[in-house]
Amino acid sequence: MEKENAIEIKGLSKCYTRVGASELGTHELWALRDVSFSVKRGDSVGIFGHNGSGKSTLLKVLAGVTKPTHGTVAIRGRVASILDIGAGFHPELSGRENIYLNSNVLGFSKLETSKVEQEIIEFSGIGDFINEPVKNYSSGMFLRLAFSILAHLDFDVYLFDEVFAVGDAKFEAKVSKTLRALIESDKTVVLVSHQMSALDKQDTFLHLKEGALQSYDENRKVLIDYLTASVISADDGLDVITTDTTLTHFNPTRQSVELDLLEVKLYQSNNISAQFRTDKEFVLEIMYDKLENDCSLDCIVSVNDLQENIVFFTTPLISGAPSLEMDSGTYKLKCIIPASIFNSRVFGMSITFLKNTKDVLSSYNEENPFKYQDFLKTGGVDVCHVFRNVLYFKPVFHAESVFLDLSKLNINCNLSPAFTWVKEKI
Amino acid sequence: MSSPTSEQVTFFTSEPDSVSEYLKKIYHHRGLIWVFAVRDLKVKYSQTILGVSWSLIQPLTALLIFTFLFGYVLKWTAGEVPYALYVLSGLLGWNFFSYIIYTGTSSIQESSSIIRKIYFPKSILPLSKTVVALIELLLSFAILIPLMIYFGYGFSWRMLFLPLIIVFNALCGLAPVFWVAALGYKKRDLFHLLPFVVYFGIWLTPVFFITKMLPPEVSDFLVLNPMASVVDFWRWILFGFGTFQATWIISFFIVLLLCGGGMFYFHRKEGEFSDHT
Repeated sequence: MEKENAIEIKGLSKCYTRVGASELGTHELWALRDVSFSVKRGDSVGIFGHNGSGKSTLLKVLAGVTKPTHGTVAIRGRVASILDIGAGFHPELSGRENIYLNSNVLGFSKLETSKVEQEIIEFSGIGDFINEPVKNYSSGMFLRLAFSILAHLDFDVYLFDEVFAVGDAKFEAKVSKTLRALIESDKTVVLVSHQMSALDKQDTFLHLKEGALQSYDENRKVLIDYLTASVISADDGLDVITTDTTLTHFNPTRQSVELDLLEVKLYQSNNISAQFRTDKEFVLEIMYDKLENDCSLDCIVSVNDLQENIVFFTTPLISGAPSLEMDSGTYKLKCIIPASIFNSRVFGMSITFLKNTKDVLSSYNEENPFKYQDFLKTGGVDVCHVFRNVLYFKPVFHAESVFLDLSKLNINCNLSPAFTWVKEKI
Repeated sequence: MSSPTSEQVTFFTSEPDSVSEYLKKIYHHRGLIWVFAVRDLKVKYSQTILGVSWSLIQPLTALLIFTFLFGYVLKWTAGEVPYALYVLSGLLGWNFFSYIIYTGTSSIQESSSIIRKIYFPKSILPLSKTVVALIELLLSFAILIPLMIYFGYGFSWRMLFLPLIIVFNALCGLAPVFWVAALGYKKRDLFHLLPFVVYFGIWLTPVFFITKMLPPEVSDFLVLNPMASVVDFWRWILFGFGTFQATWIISFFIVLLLCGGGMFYFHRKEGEFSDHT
């Protein structure tokens, strides 16, 4: 049975006019240009695009908060718009009173709210604070309560704008679980996010560019293409390499005096200009000058996807002991990445150097576990050099016995390792 | 209650809703009028010791001061009506009016965070402030009624006009609120004008003075001030003060028209509020 449309948008345009702060008269800004699409009930849409591409405006128009300049929007059912969590909260009222106020503003009766009141309070984890005025809440508590309210009321259409910057990690997990449940249910979900991994679970993807609909497709390829394109067109001159490459210029994310990175080389020993293949091993060579005598340096290489999820990291520390050589001088590291491990995707590669690894690693224990992410983000105490996304590379899918391009199959994984499989007929 | 059901389709277009469509939307969201009003009252009296009594203290203080000043010191009299009752009834009507103006005009700005995130007809906001003002008005009846009993006034058929005068009084406040909010959301000059209206307007309205005290060539101009009609109408209903004037009804319909026009203009402009607040 054909599902009916939950959202129908026809020829939508939105123009903001600002009566100039300067004397230059009115200033026109077209935030949306002739956007048309429809969403079936129960489907979910992920909207992405660069800053200023009209994502938030589109959501605002959908929520009815701002009027379109041209075109029509039709939405079936009750709409939860989470444009910014906590709309309709009043600081002087208690959390409990705000639950009722908020849900009432969103169109729910006292009776409907009282049925889920307890669940809302439990989900938010606010506890006894629920009877305190919300002005005494921390911003995290505020957001948790607001999200809990929306999560427990029964809407038909959910509009989310960047909801993932909510509270602590524990609550973030709750949020994404709730979101996934909504997406999988018969609810209609529209999600705008910069965090690409948040968009991953959607059924459909919508790419906005300068207010216009660039693509609208069920294929995740839309998302991947956007990510790839935005990396390639990045201003810092990064390029996706697809053939043997030697790099000699680097922009360290974090840097200190112990080291000078000379050369990074990624190759497959192909014929010149032949493309990287997934079924061949990669060789990574890192050449550096160690400038100081009385320290040790160890290298970590991490490979991440374009959503900045780490796919794997590798370091000689795993295969052997920390390097104990203290001498300065030029060193060359060579790492062989096995064949048939990657899918045909764009990957970023980051290189991190650890100083005096032995001391660093012994400072971690069960209470203070080693978090590789922290190293990349902030740099641990003795992370002396981080070269974030030193290069991007993309192999083309090849396999001896398979004549399929898995990237075209839209398989939702970064790795497709060629493990050994044995098939027997019994 | 006030929300669309899961089958109902909501449309957003560049065109403003038709008047009937708009009124339907207000009806749909009517629950919000009450919700916002309750919120305001809760906020107003939370963190106070005296709570609701503050709503009585303010008119009571005014009553004492003005009765002393004009009734006792200046010896103004209002015929058979005690001056204290005369002033109180004038103040009730005027306070109701000024409360709607002050809170109504700031209501859009005050709720900007909601406006930018949730859709509802914005007329709800001034209407909800009117409900708060009405509750304040009813509270101050707690001073008026004992005083009326004390001075020997009782029920009268004229009190059937009470709903009409309350609506008339509210319309006087709402009409400028709608016009100013709709005309002034981009450039806020008009918002600065209203306090003048309230501050000086009380002296152009027979709140403290008695119309008869004015020379006739001046008092004739009072018909141009709808609030003059309102306070005198109040006094006629409550105490049978003066005689019923046909101009009150004319004035009522003019204000009704102005308020309706203001609301219509407000509704055509409200789609842009969220872009400018």
